[in-house]
This record gives sequence, C-alpha cells and structure tokens, in this order.
Amino acid sequence: MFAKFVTFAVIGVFAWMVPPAKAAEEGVEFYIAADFLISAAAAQSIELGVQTALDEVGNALAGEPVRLIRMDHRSNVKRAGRTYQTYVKSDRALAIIGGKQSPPYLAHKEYINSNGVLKLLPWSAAGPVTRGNDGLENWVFRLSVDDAQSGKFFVEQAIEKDGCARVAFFLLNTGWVRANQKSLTAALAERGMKSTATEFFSSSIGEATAVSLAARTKRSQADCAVMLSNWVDGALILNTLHRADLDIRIYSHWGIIGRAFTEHVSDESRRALHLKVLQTCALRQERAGNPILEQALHRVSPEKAALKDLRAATGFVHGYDLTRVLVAAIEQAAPDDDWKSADITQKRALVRNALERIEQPVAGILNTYDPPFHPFEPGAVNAYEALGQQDLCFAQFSSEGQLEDAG
Amino acid sequence: MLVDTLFSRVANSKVVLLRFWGLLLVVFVLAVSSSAVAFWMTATPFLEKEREGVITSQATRDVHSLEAKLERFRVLLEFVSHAPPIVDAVMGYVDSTDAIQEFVGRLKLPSEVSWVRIYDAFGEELVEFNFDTEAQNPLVGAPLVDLVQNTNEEVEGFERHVVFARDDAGAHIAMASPVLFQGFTEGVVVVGMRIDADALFPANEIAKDTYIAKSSAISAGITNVPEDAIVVPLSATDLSVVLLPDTEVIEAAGSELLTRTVGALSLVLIIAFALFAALGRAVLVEPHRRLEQQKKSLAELAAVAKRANDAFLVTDSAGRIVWTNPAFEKLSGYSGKEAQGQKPGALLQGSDTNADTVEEIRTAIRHRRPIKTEILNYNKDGGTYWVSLGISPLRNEQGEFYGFMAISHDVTHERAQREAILSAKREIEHQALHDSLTALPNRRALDIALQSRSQDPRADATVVRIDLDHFKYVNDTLGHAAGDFVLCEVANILREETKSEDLPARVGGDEFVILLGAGKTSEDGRVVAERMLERIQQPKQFEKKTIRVGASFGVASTLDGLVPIGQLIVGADAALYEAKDNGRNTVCLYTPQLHHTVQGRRSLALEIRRAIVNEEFVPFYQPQFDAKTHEIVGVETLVRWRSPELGLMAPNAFLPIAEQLSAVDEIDALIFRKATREISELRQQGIIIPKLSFNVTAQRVQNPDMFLDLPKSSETGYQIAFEVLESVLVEEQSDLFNFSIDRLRDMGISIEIDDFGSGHASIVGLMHLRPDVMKIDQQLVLPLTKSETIRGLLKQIVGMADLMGLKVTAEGVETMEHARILTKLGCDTLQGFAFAKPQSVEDLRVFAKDWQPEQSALLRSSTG
Repeated sequence: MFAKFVTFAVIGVFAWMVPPAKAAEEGVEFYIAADFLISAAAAQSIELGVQTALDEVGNALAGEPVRLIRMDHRSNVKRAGRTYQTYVKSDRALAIIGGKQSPPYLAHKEYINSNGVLKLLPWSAAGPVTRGNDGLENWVFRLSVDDAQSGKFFVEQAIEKDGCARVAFFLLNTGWVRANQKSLTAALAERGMKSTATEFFSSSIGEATAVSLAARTKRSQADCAVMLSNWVDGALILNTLHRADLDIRIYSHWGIIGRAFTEHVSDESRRALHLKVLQTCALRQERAGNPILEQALHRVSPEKAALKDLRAATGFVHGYDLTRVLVAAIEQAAPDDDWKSADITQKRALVRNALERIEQPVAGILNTYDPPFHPFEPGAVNAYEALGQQDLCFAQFSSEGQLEDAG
Repeated sequence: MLVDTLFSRVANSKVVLLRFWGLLLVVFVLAVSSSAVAFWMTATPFLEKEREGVITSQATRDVHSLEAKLERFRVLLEFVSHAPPIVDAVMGYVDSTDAIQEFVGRLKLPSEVSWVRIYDAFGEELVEFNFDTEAQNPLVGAPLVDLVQNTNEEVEGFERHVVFARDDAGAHIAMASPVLFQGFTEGVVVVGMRIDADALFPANEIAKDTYIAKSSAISAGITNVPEDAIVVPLSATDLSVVLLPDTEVIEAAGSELLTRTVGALSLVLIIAFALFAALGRAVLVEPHRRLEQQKKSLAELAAVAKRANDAFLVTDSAGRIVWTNPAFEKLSGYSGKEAQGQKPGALLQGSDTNADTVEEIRTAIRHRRPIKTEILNYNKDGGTYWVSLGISPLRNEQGEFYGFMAISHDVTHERAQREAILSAKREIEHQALHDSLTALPNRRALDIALQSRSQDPRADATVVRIDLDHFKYVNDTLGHAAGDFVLCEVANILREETKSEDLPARVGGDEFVILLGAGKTSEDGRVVAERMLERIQQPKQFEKKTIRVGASFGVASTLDGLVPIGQLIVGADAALYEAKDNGRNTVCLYTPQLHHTVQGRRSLALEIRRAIVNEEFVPFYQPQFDAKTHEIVGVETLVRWRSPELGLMAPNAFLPIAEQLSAVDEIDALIFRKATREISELRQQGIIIPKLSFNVTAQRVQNPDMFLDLPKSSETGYQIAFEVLESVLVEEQSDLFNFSIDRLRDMGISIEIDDFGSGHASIVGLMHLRPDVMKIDQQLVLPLTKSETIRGLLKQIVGMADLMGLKVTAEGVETMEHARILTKLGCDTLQGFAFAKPQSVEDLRVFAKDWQPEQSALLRSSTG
C-alpha cells in the first residue's frame, strides 16, 4: 500500500511539474477506457458511437484535432487505475469515456475525483459512481441506465403497467445486485408491498438449485419476478421455470444480454415467461423513426441502417449521445478566453463546468438533453445523470433472437 | 625320471593314475580359462550397455520423481492462482489482502514450499508469504522479476520457466502461474520451494551425486557438468537432472559379476570333471589297479601257502588235485607229484574214516558249498590221523567255479584230549543227576524232567509218590547196610516195573517218585503202584535175615484237571499222606475231594495269617472255683478265633493248621497280651481274678522271646500260671526246657501239669519238673459218677499229689454231683460246665460280678 501511495505521489508530482506545452498544437485526446477483450463488443460499440459523433464535427473540437485512444483495461481495476495515472500525467487527454463494467470506475472513484479525471460513462449502471465523494468535486458523468433509479422502473412497469400482484426477486449474489435489491424493495414498499420471494443465487448454479428455486417460487404464487443475473445462470433459471410450467412474467436487467443467451433459451420459453429486458429506449426511437438515429446509423454504414445490425447497440447509442453532449460542452467552453491559456488540467475543469451548465439543448438519439446535467450540489443526487426513469424501456426478444421494443 | 616313467609304454597302476589325473587337470584348467575368456569377450559389451542402461534408468527415475514433485507444485500453483480471492486481488476488485491471507492460511502446503508471492499484471508484488524462515531465499532478484514478467506477458514457453538456484540448504526452485481472468493473464502467483536433493535422490550404488541444474544453463555452457555425467531434461520445465555415475562401484559390480560367473562356471566344471574323474577312474584306472592287485595277491597267497603250517590242497573243477603245499606233503607223506591228478578222497580216506562225514563232504562238493569238518585220514604209510578240514569252492572274478581248495591241519592230539574231557564231563553230569546208591535219577533229574515237561503248555504228567513204611525201623534195627539193601531192592522193583518212557527217581531217604510217560493217567499210575506195592511187601532176605517193608503210594495227574505240573508233587504228597492216614500200604489218588481239602486248608492258612495280623484271636476264660467255698480262684485262658467271615471258632478248627504254619507261638503271644490286659482292666473295675492260667507248648516255653512279654506277678496283682501238657513230661526234658521252666518259676509264674492222666507220664518226670498244680484230665473226671474204679484211681492220684505237695484241679466238672464227689476226694479246685463255660471277658465280668459262692455252696450241700 505504501509503495502504491509513493508511486501515485510521484506521478502526481510529475504531473504538476510537467508543463502542458504544445498542447494546443497537438490537439486533444479522448481515452476509451474499456474492456476491449472480454467485453469487446460493448467497447467497440461505444467506440463506434463516440467516433460517429466526433465524425460529425470533423474530429476536431475548439479548433483542435481530437484523437480517440483505446485504453484496454480488460476489466482489470488495476489496469484501469494505470489509465487514470496515464491520463493525469498526459497533457493532451481531456476526457475518459468508460466501458460496460462498473468496478474500474467505482474502485478508483476517489482517485478520479481527487485528481480531476473527467470521466464519462455511456454504459455502466452502478448507482454510486456518479454520486461523488464527500469533500471532493464530482468528476463522473453518466448517460446510461442508473440502477439507483431502475428499481423503481421495474416495479412501476410490472405492477402498474402489467398488473403484477405478487412480485418475486431472483438475484445474483453480488455487490452490484445487492445494491439494486435495496431500490427494488424500496420501490415495492412505496406501494405497500413486499416481495413474495427473494431468491439469491450464486454464480454458476447447478440444475438442482434452479429446480428448488422454481419450486419455492411456485409455492410463493408469484405472478411476476424481477431477475438480476448474468446470462448463464439467468438462462438456466428461465429454462427451469418454463419446464416447471410456472405461469410467471419475468422482468430482467440487461445483464442477461450477450453471448449465447438466445441460443440457450428458446423462443417458446421466452414467450411463455413473457420475458422483458431492461433497455434504454433506442429501439422505440428507431421504431419511431428518430432522424438523429437514422443519420448516425447512416454515418456508420449506409448499408447498416438498423440497430439490430450492430452488436451491443446500447453502447453505440449511449456513446453517440454522450459524445454529442461532450462536444456541446467543449464547444460551449472553448470560446472563453480562459480556454486558450488553459493547460490540460484547467481545460478539464472548464469542460466539467460546461457539462454542468450546458445552455443549448443537445439533440440525441434517446432524448433531447435540455440540459443533460446539472451542477452537483447537495440534494441533487441525479445531477450527473443524463437519463432518468422516463428514458427506460423494456425490450423483448424476437423469435429470431433480436431485441425489439416491448412497447 | 618322472617324465620317463609317465611316458613309458609300460606303466603300473600308479603311473596310470598319475597320467589320468594330470590329463584331467590340464583339460580342466583349459576349460575354465577358455570359458572365462569367452565370457569376458561376450559379456563386456553387454555389461557396458547394461551399465549405461542402469545409469540412464536411474536418471530417468530421478527425473520422474522430480517431475512428479514439480507436477504436484504446479497443480497446487494452478489451484492457488484460480482462487477467487487472488483473482479479485489482482483484478483490483478487492483492495485488501485479508481474503488472500485467509485463503493461503487455510491451504495445507507441502513442507518444501518456502514462500508464496502474488503479483499483479504489472509485476507489482501484492502479498508475500514466507514459510521457511530458516533458509535464505536465493531466488529474489532479476530472475524472479523476469519470471513474473514473462508470465504476465505470456511469453512463449513461459510455462516452462522456473527460477532455480542451489545453495547449501538444497535446490531452490520458483515456479510461476498466471492468474487468469476470463482466460487472460491478470497476475502471477509464484511459489518458491526448497527441495532436499539428498532426500529426493538418495545416494546409491549407481550415482555418486545427483543434482538439479537449469537445462538452458547447461546447454549455454554456464553450468558445467562433468563429461561422464548423465543429463536428463525435465519435460515440463527448464530443469535437468544431472547424475554423476559412481563408475568405480559400477565397474566393481561388473568385475564382481565376472568373478561370480567364472566362479559358478568353475563350480559346474568341477562337478562335471569330478563326475568324469569318478567314472574314468572306475572304468579305466580301477580295473588296471585291480588286475595288478590280483596278481600281487595271488603271488602273496602262493608264498603264504607255501610257508603255512596248514596243509593246502587245490583241485580242478573235476576234483583232481592240481597243487599241494609242503605242509600237505609232510602231513600225508605224499609228494606233490604223487598227489597231482588224484582224487583227495581216494588218496586220504580209509576203512575207519566216518562214512557219514565222507557223505557230508561229498554232498557239499556236489553242491559246491564250503564245508568245515573233522575227518580221519590215512597217510602214505597207512597210519591214521585226524584233521580239521575246510573245503571252499574257488571262483574267478566272474563268479565261475573252477575248483576247490582244502585246508587242513592235524588235530589228532587235540581230539584225544577233547574226548577225555568229554567223558569226564559225562560222568559228572550222570552223577549230578543220579543217586549214587540206587543209580536211579535223583530229585534234580526229576525236577529237570518235570521242568522240561512243563515247557509245553499242552503237556500232561502223572506222578506216583512212594514212601516206604517203617523204613526207619529197618535202619534202626538192622543197620544202614540193611537199609541200603532195601533201598536198592526197591529201586530195582521201580526200574523193572516201569517202561522206558517212565522216569523213576529217588528223591529222599526212603522217598521215590515215578514220572510216568506222557499220556498216562492217574489210573495207570494206580495200576503201576499196586503192582509195585505187591512186590515191595514181599519179604526180602538180607544176610540171612528176612526184612519186611511196606509202602504208601500217592498218585496225582494233570489229566484229572486238578493241578498243573508245578503243583503235581504237592498233590501226590497230599495223596500219599491220605494213604498213610488210611493205614499205610495202600495207594491213594489225588481226587477232587482231596483237592478240596487241600485247597480249604490252604485258604484257612491264609486266613490265619491274616487273622494274626488283624488280631482276630481272642481269649476266652473258663473260671476255676475253690472246691470248698466255690469262690473264683482263677481262670483258664482258652483261645477262640473270632473271624468276620467264619464266625467264632474253637481251637480244634484252626490249631492243626496253625501248627503246620508254625503260627501257634504268635497266637499264644497275642492271647497272652490280650488276656493280661483284659484281666488287669477287670481288676481296675473291682472284679478280682486271683489267677490267670495259659496253655503253653514246650516250644513256647523254650522261646526266649516269650520272656520279653511276661509281666511280674507283683505288677499285675494276680497270679499267672502256665499249663504244660502231661506229654511234655515224656517227650521234652531238654536242658533248655528245664532251664526255661526254672526261669519262669523265678519270675513268680506257677507251673501246672495239664491233662494229667491222659498219657503215660512218669512219676520221675513229674518230680523232675516239680509243678505247682496238677490238672486231672476230664477223661478221668467224666466217668467219676459211675465208676467206682475211677473214684479209687482219683483218690490215689490226689493222694500222690498231696504227697508231692501239689494242688489238684479237676477239669470237666459237668455236674454238681461231680463237684461234690471231687471235693470229697480232696480236689482243691474245680473247673467245668457245672460252674461256668469258657466265656468272653464281657461275659466274665457279668458272671464274676453276679457270682455268689454261698448260694452255690448251699446248692452243692443241698444236692449233696
């Protein structure tokens, strides 16, 4: 620990000593700190969204060229930490755009906030990431599902829209999920309800566990269940529920999407269980013929004119919208006199400041952000959240296994 | 010289043997040495190959054990590197190392593990565990950093990477394993271990030293290995096992193998050659040796025979003489030439030669059997001489008969001596078994005959026992010459009246026994006996005097089934006594009745013996009374046998047998002991018996032992009297008897004459004995009441006693009438049934207690 501290301190001193000379001449860099190996599809999708938005502005901002740099942390928190150190030392890196996972940002939140790392999250959903540290400035902005709010959405949709009377929870036993359980329970409590069954399960459960889970659920007479799981365990549970012939509706977080979920859970099962998956509302926008989406897709590839053609389309949509917001903020900050004389650290601060106070509405795929963020002040817990409950939608799988808006 | 001998064509058996052994030895040495060379040439390459193989396989084994050990570490390492706490830590999900500490703490690590270090993806050490605090860790530094880096970077072949160092504490090896997340390296776990090479590769005969080295270092020449070292790389790592073979030991083992093989080969050859030697000797050398031996023996034999004192004679198979020795010539008088071609029998035997012996010799020759005998020969001059002759058939090696050899020597003189001794012996033997007077067989001859007869359990025997009557009279009256004449006459009668198969014998002075021939019955015996009796009874003339004798005969036979041969004489004796009891001059058979009596007597004798031991004889007392006052003045002690089986018996039932057994003295002594004790006891009870009298025999009086038991009158308080039979006065008047009587009298014992008047006692004898009391026999008392004569006689006897100062006791006082008369006649003491019967001590006690003399006297007077 001491060694680490020393390393960080030395790096900090270097950062302070090295003058940000020639910064203007060489343009700025955006890091994409994501897992380009394990979650490559998501990372690349984000990168595509960001790049598409930057293409729209000619890959230049405030008269300076913008360069995207992949910082592959491979979900390794420590490697992510190195990225932040590199960023801090860099005289060109202006912002870091995150990837799918939350831990690399959660673990280093304090470092991020104390070292002024401008961090923008297009996918990770963990609630606390954007809620800052006591006594420090908050530097983490998000345009994605916020699990602090998704619980409420699940409950609202299930009970009010679909008329569920008895709601069960199927929860993977991880820190992320346990945090979400609180918001789910709170949302039910608001309606004077309790879960009829709360089933925690470990990662990589066996069939026996799944069968007994199904049996208990049946006994609980639940008519709906909210499931927070990875795809492997989620698939097993759903197949088991279907085989047990449970008449139940499943509302799942997006954790089940990916890899071979649809290959393992048949269309029949999916339909029988009325499986709905949490998403932002891009699909609805696409169905609604959102022109911005169409443009963006067209820019990516004229032939690929639909979200379904993109792998992990969420990353593209959120990356695109978030970059548009970032571009707007830079454009708003750059005309200022300070900008020209500012070193990279100051520019980061200027951009953060601009993000809090974007004056012109920013049109995006999911929304027109007016404004996307607010100054982070006591009580304003959602200030750095670009999306709210209203931006959440449920999707369902088509018979071919493609996600489509659940309407 | 030796060489000449060895190779000369003419050789004796010794030389042959020497040649044989020499050749054998040379061939043996050649065989062993050529085998050794052959083995050496063929085995050496094989041994070398084998040696290489052994070393290589040892090295391979060592490699396998090291690989196995490393594989265990690798498995452990993989397990550790996959552990979630470690993944979480290297991934940075968990900042604290507490979970790792806990996880590693729970692991059961092998003792060789000295440390574990965990690094993140950037080679930064997260945590370190040191288990081996004693040993230095020589692995830290650049090599370890390289290991971690190579592992993190997944450099090709990184899985083979190990860090290796050696120091005094052993071989230190560090192995690394990547910590994978979703299949990608995100950190490194390094395990350091210390391997005790001595324990892993224990020193043995093959390896001088075995150690671990880095393969790359060896190939790069950084680590030098000796030229003869075997280097075997490990498959999974950059390590090699270096084995330094212990060439000396291996070579020593090789040469030992050679030595042993040659040794074994030699042993096998020795056995083979020994077999050959044994067979060779038997087949080649031995016959040669034997032939030589035979030759030598024959020559020696001929020399011996020539010089021998015995006469030698050899014939051909047809029995004609072919050779004789000088001793033969001397003995027979024939020269060798004269004898040659002759038949020995025709040459040497003559008219007096025993024909049986000649026949015996002929038979033996016919059957070609050896024979040894004595024969009378004739010499050339016609003189005879005896020879001890041994004839043996001669056979060659193959056992074929080719003639006879006769060896003889002169035994004429020896024979004469032997004959003299034999005739003397025969004379002695005859004397031993015959009576010299009558020339009849004696008792010993009879015993031998009976003995030999009894050997056969089926044999029977009948004997006649003869005893001359009144022979003593002949001897006494006519002298011993007459007696001897009678005995010879009787012997002649016995000889003449018996058959040859009968055996008459004189067994004592006038006693004869005839053992009849087998199969003859007691009835046959009686016939013979009666015939003899008739002849014996006839008067005989001796020196112009006529002698008459008679004889009693007892006959017993085993054929009657009463007695076995051993008891036959006893049975005949019993029959003889029976004959004598029947009035002599008669013949009695041992009949079943007689047998029964004898048996009864015998069993009674046994009973008496037992009764003496058990003290079954008891005293009975017959009281004696004062003739005037009728007071009890004494008791006569009488013996009774109180037998548990036979009841109470009077003396006449057992005394005759007891006399035969010489047991009377013992019985008397017993009765004396009991009676004195009982009368003393009565006295203590206040019953006073003034006198206790016993019947004693003359023998008992003379038995010195008797005096030992006698109490003194002063001690007993009553008088002891001994009653001696009247017949003693006639028969026994020896000095010892008189001395003993005096001695008794000195001891205060009174002497009474018993049964006076029953025999012919002399007054002189009576005076000589000087008894105290005279007891008148009841034969005189009983007729008293009816015979005036008897009364007169008694009056005279009482008067005589009175004259001699003797008291008179009358026995057999049957009635009070008797008592009255006897009292009147002057008798002092009365004893009889009129007063009291003999009775036991218990009865006596009651009787004496209740006796009232006054009433008795009154009765007497009233009846009188």
